[in-house]
Amino acid sequence: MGQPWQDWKDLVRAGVPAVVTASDGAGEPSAAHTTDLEVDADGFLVYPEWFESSRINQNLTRSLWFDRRVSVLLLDPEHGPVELRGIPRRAIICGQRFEAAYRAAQAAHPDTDLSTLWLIQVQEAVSRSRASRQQDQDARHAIVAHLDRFAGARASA
Amino acid sequence: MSQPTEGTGASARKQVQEAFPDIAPLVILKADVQRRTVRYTTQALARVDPAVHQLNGRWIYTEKADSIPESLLLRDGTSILTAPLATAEDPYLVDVVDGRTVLMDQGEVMEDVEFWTKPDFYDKFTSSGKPMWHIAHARPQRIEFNPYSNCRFWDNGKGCKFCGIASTYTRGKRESSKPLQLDLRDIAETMQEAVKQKGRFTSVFLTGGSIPQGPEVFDEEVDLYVDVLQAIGVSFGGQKFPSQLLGSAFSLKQLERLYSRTGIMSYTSDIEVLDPELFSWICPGKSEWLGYGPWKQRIVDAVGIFGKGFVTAGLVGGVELARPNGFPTEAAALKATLLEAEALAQQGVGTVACVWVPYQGTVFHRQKVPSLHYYIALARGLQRLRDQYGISIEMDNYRRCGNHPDSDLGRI
Repeated sequence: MGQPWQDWKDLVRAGVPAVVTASDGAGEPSAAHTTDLEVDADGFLVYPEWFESSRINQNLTRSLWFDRRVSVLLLDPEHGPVELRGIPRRAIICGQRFEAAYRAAQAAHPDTDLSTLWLIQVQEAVSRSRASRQQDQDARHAIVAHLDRFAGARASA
Repeated sequence: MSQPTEGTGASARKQVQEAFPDIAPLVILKADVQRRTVRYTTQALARVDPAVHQLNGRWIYTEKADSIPESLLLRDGTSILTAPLATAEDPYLVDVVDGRTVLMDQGEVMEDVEFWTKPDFYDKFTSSGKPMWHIAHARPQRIEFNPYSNCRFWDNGKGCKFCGIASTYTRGKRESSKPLQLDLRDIAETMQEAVKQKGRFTSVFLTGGSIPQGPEVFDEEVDLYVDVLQAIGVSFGGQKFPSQLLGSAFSLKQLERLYSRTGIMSYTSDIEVLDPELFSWICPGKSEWLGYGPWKQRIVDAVGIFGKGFVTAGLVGGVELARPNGFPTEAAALKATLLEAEALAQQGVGTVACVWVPYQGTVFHRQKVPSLHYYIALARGLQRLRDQYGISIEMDNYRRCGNHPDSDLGRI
């Protein structure tokens, strides 16, 4: 495995937990935790949403309808979080593929329904670890920092 | 809303998308495909797999057993209920481009589409030897029973002018011995078979022709639905199950009987057109047996039995503009329809509209449908009313029915 944000598909296949976030028409976000992401043969990120009536399901629908990006935060315990950004392209709610997923979901969680397999086209993957965020800020926003950090650096130099 | 000046085909759709930026382009496309219908190319039909796709269908409005897919799915999971129409002037094309099955309009690829898949029960037989696809019809997530295949309003020629139930039944009886009424045991067995397919269905739907006969008007129709729902209910242990009955306008006493003796959860009655004079002209049988005001009041009364969000009034959207007696302009039709729909919404009733297609076998088969602009304005208006009055449309949404652009809008 190379840089973690370059291998987001490996992280997904490793089953890391994740948080999916999408916004409604007023910009109000909604998030959902999942441990069930997959990557399909066409390279889409597959997010199974259990609940038809959930806010995240509604917001993903809006994103698909209006080509709005959603965020998926992969919680890599080893290298820190990786954020994926992309657009839902397909909602699978029926047919052979859905039914196979439904049967698998029922086997794992017999008391829970399954609403939709969301196919998300990932357009961007960015490391969101503390270290990489600090490096990014230092590199691109050098003026944004507390002075004592600079003073400490000079003292120890 | 001004009288439409929209162009034809793709240009009209683009104008409507610009006029309604808050409406999903996929919903606009769906409504337009329903208006203009489709034609399949040889290449598209070559992709049909009879072992996988749904080709046969016996239901109250059509009967088919050919090589044409029953209908289509868009990539947001929405169904487009449409079929080739011999008289269509400007249909969309279902074709294959770069290995994808797509909707085409004037040479331009619009969207990927999929054919509906066939449920497992379609290839099974009841113990009486009948193919189960003769007993129940399927949409992608809905199983539908039509216990009674004719409409008794046609007994004296007063059926609804947009409706093809009687002609479908007459042709089916002549060409394929279609029975007038389903057998309860066949229904029970088909339902038991259907629920074996895990993840396929999310609701049971019942409808049939009106039967106004009985000690009280529609008593015979109610009796039939009680029997059928009890036969279906065997599969669900006698408890309530996700379901919708689309029937005539029943009295409070009849509705109480239906609700208390069966597992039914929601109720729709089609008032068809929200104007008393047009109702009398377009639906003379409904008018003769009950009348516009009582029909509407009974739908409102149903909220007291089924609850808010579990009762809808159905419209054949656009029929209010039928010539020569319809509203003179789309603006007038929209204003009047939404005003009446608001009166229903204030009393807890959601109104849903389908897109009128003047099919062969109906009195109105030579009529022209309204503009796409009209359909989108109507869909948005109906959904806004439901939002305003806090009426859920889960009972009749894209999964249950899929035939209402307005209820598609309720997804977000």
